[in-house]
Amino acid sequence: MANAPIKKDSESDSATASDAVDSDAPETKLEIKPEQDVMFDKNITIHFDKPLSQYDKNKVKAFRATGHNKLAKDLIAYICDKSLTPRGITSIKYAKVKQQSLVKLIKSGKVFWPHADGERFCFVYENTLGKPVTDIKNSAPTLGWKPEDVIVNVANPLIKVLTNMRNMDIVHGEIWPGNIYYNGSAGADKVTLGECLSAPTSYNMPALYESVERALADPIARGTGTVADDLYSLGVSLAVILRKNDPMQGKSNAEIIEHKIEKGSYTTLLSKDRLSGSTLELLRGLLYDDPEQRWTLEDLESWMDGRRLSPKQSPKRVKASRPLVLNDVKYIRPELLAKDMTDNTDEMMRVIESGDLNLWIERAVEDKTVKIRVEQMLEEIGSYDRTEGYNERACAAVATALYPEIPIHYSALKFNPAGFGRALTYAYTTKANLQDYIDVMRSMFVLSCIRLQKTTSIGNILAKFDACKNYLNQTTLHYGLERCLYYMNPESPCLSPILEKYYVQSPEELLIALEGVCASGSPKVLLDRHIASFLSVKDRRNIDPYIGDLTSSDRYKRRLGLIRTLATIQKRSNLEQCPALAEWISNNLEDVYDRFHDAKKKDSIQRQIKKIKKTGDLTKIALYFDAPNLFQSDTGYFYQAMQEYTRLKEEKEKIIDRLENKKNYGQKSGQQVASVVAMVVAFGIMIVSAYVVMIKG
Amino acid sequence: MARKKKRKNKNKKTKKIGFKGFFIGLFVVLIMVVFTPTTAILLVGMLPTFVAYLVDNSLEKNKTFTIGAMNFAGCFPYLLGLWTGENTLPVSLNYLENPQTIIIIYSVAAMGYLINYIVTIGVSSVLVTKSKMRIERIDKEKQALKDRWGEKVNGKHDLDEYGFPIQNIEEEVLDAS
Repeated sequence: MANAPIKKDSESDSATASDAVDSDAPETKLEIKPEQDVMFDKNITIHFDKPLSQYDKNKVKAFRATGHNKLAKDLIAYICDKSLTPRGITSIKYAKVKQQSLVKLIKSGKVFWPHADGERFCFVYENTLGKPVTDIKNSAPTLGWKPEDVIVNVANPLIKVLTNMRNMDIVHGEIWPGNIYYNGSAGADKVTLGECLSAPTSYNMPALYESVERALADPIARGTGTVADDLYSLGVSLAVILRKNDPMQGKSNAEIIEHKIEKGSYTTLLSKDRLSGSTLELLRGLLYDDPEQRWTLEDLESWMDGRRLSPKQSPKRVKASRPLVLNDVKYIRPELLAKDMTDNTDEMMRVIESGDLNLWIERAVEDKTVKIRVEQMLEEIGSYDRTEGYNERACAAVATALYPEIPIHYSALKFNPAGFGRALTYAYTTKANLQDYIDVMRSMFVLSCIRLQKTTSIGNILAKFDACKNYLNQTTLHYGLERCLYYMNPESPCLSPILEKYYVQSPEELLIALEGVCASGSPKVLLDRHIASFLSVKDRRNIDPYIGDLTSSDRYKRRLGLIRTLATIQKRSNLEQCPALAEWISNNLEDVYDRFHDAKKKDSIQRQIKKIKKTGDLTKIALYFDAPNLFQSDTGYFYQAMQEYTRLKEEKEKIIDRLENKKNYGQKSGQQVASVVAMVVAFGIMIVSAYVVMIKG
Repeated sequence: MARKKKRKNKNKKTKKIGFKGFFIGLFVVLIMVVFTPTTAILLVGMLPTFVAYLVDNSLEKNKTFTIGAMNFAGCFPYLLGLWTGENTLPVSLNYLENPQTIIIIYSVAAMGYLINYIVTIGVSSVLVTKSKMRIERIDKEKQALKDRWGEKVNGKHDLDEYGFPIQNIEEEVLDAS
């Protein structure tokens, strides 16, 4: 990679738990083998020829790493996939969680990854994991550990981890036996919970370990979740570790979910095992399907202290007295109907429009709350535009009215609103069809659905979708789908093809990346819709003042707009030198130079710019062209030159006219001269005469 | 409106003639009264000047002045003779009776014609040469302006508010060809 611009403050902006590295300690000389090693920070070497495939998580790959100086020697590096936005911001808080049973984060940030020939986000942990409790391919194991071992060595340590994480306001999102590690001997020692930052929350976790509502969403679109979701996952994890039988063996995810809705999670997982005592209590508490009823961390603390908690009656799900038939399937639970209705939208719309749904809710379901919700929603969907996709939108809205906790299901998308951003980024980077996403953002139905859901920070989510609706309607450079990408997923790196080899998450990193792009080649373009949207979302002060120039039909204005944008970023980021960028700018100012009429001035400016570019200071270049009257004075002098030209032309015409048309050209002047000459001669003659007369006299 | 202009011009002319004429008239009258002998010589001797005045169509009467100056120079020795010797009418008439006097005076006047002729031709040639050289310099300056400011400085193109052609000059050349 090219020499990066120098920062005035040499702080690292990535999370680290290794602040304990002694800066006074003598640095050991590192032996780096470029064909197999990558340096990540000055103290960590990642060995890209030594994969740790037992720790791989689908697209996220693990590699052996070595720490130097005061760092632990044995490390694991997780290299993130660009399509899966990692939880970089969460890593800052994660690093502060000091818990032995949670894998310790050493460092996170971006690293140049040879396999990808570009930068990737990376998390480096201490390798204290051991063996996963279950292989990741076996998502529903039956391990039959002893209850007392599970309580002491699995439940207790993980509860402490979750308590600490809750205190740091972090949701883990990947608690399942494939991410719980032990020393190989069941229950012999405390387990270690694996990392959760290298992919979106719950992306790598099988649906079995999710509550019904989250399991129905696409893995990429589950959203961050809550502590209650973590506790549910813990409950399921404990259940599968303890149980000796799998009641759902051979069943698909959809069947398991249906069973959970019908019979409850506890029965679904443990109906064939008999548990007793505190273990039973624990699992019952954790496996409540209603998150309001589910045990909290306070309840768990009480349980750990030996206090008995009074069992809560799990409210029964609503059940209709008679079924509603849809596509030859009989539904007596509104939740199951809501889950399936969006797969049969045309048939469902017939049921809705015929009034059968209303009748069924009123007479069979007999739940006022559901009735009111559905009636209100039916009224709302009546106002939707009957354009293409109307049935899908209407069914998604009615499904939410029937079962508000369900993920929004539109066409091929199943998403929780909080997970929409990461799902959109994933779809974009994997070149999936984005039309469904665009339809969702453009439509009103998604707002109707969100209002019904018990989402945390609902106001924020509503505002985001509303904003995206406006962004899609605008075609200016920094609006459109690209802006929606970065607005809905603030942790997304910039996805511009110009920055293909870079992992850019801030305007400062963008400038450094562009410096690298210019140092390694001569790109034609340095700013596209992605970069413009990215900058505008991250910090509009970097680019919004120059949008007029950047979108101008005049090329020179676009060029000046680009220079000013880059200079603003350099100034605000406190970066000192960008020599390659300055060189690129200097070589691509033809359009600006052409705005000067005066060739001498052009040469002078070019010489000045050549001097300034050596400093690598883009601000100076921008300020040079911002000088008042730089262009105006040139235009003024140009008009003067035009007048001069016209004057000369007229003078020439006059002279030619005089030469060609006047027969006696110069006669008048000649006569005037002649009269002077004659005067002089006459005067001479008179002097001589007087002299002669005087001599004679 | 036209009448007023004519009257104005007439007044101007009248004023011009009046002032000059008065001066000359006064001069003449004085000479005649005070210097009768001198007047006699001048009346005869300055005849070429009177003729030149009548023939000279120019406003400035430069030719008349040329000839007049030389004519007077021709008369001057005789006038000087009068003024330094016997300043009487018979002496002046005596001068005038002498053909040599007339020949000399009129020859010197003729030199005035010659001076006018030669100098006018000379000056005219110089001016023509100068004009041609000026044309060459103008061409160079124009080219220098074009080199510095571009083809559009010739003012033949439609320019926008910033001075740039609305149609590209190259396109125009292509169109023209």
